[in-house]
Amino acid sequence: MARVSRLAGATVKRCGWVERRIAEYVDGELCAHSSQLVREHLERCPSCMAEYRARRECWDFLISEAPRIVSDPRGDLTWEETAPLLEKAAATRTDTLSGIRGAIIERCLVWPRHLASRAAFRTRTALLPAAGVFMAILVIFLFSKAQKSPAGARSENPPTVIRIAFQPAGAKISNGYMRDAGQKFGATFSERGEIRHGWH
Amino acid sequence: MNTPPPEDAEEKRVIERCIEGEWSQFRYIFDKYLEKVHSLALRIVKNRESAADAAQESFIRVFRSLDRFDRRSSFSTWLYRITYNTALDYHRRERRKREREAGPRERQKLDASHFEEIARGEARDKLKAAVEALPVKLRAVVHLKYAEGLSYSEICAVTGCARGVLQKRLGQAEKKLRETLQREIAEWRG
Repeated sequence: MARVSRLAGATVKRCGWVERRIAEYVDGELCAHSSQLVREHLERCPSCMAEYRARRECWDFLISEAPRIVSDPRGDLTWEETAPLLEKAAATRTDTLSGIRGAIIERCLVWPRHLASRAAFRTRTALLPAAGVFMAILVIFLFSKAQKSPAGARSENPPTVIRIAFQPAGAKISNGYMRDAGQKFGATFSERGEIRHGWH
Repeated sequence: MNTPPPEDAEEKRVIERCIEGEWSQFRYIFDKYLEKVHSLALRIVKNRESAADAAQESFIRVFRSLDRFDRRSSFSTWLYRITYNTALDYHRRERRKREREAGPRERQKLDASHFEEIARGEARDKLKAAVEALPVKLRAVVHLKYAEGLSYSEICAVTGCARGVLQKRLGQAEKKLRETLQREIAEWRG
């Protein structure tokens, strides 16, 4: 069927645009601006107006009749048979609260009520992995530093007592012991047998 | 932006008391929402006994989770969401049970007789039968939209679906209802 594709007026929308929004228009879910555009289109487009009328009739019928089709809305459910279950649920919840939160949180007496909200729990839960990763990186960093440090090497390998003067050219001492000064040291030597770099 | 409706002061007080452990205060919520909860459950499970069980379990679940109600939506929307999920669980359980007992062929026969029933009934009965013939998720959104009068955003909060999905479901449901009830709608219009 040939539909109106373009109507007079700059703000009048195409049929496709209106068709996509007609259900929302009927349900009153469109914003004021879009409703105005749909209304303007409907005033000028008979086929869209026919579609709108059909939907509107169905909507009116459903809104009027749907609440009445529920037969026996309260059913057989009574407070008397639900109350014991609620009492049991309340007892279970109290036990759980006193058992877990009571022991851990309430004894601390520093747990504001608002922190127990779901949003706060989500925030805490989101921060936990980040804190865990940070702690893991910190531990790895400290461990590797301890492995690389001379102090660690010295503690594992007992220092060797040597005389610097007799070291051959190009030698490297990583864990020596200076007998005269009573200190541990390490050094690298130049080609001529002189200390190029040393620590103690 | 959709703001939750102002909460009933009595309802708020009752919720606080229930969280503190005074379970008998829950009667106020039970009486206030029983019809709505039972209607939604009945629309989803289509069986009076199961609907009563689903409604009761929904109330128990609501009571157990009261301390986790974060007030981002209205209490009724939150209650509907729990009821919707509970009733869907019952519906799935019943469907599996039915399929085990009757088998898929029997199920097809039941559906066919259902449509015959639609053709025989009066306008309201036909509407009821036509709504019951819809798939469960379409049935639920039709109930929430037309029987309970919820807005799109409230239905999205209850069913947990996106707005686009909801529009699609409503469109499909409306199309099927219009096809089935064409004559009734015309007669109703007079």
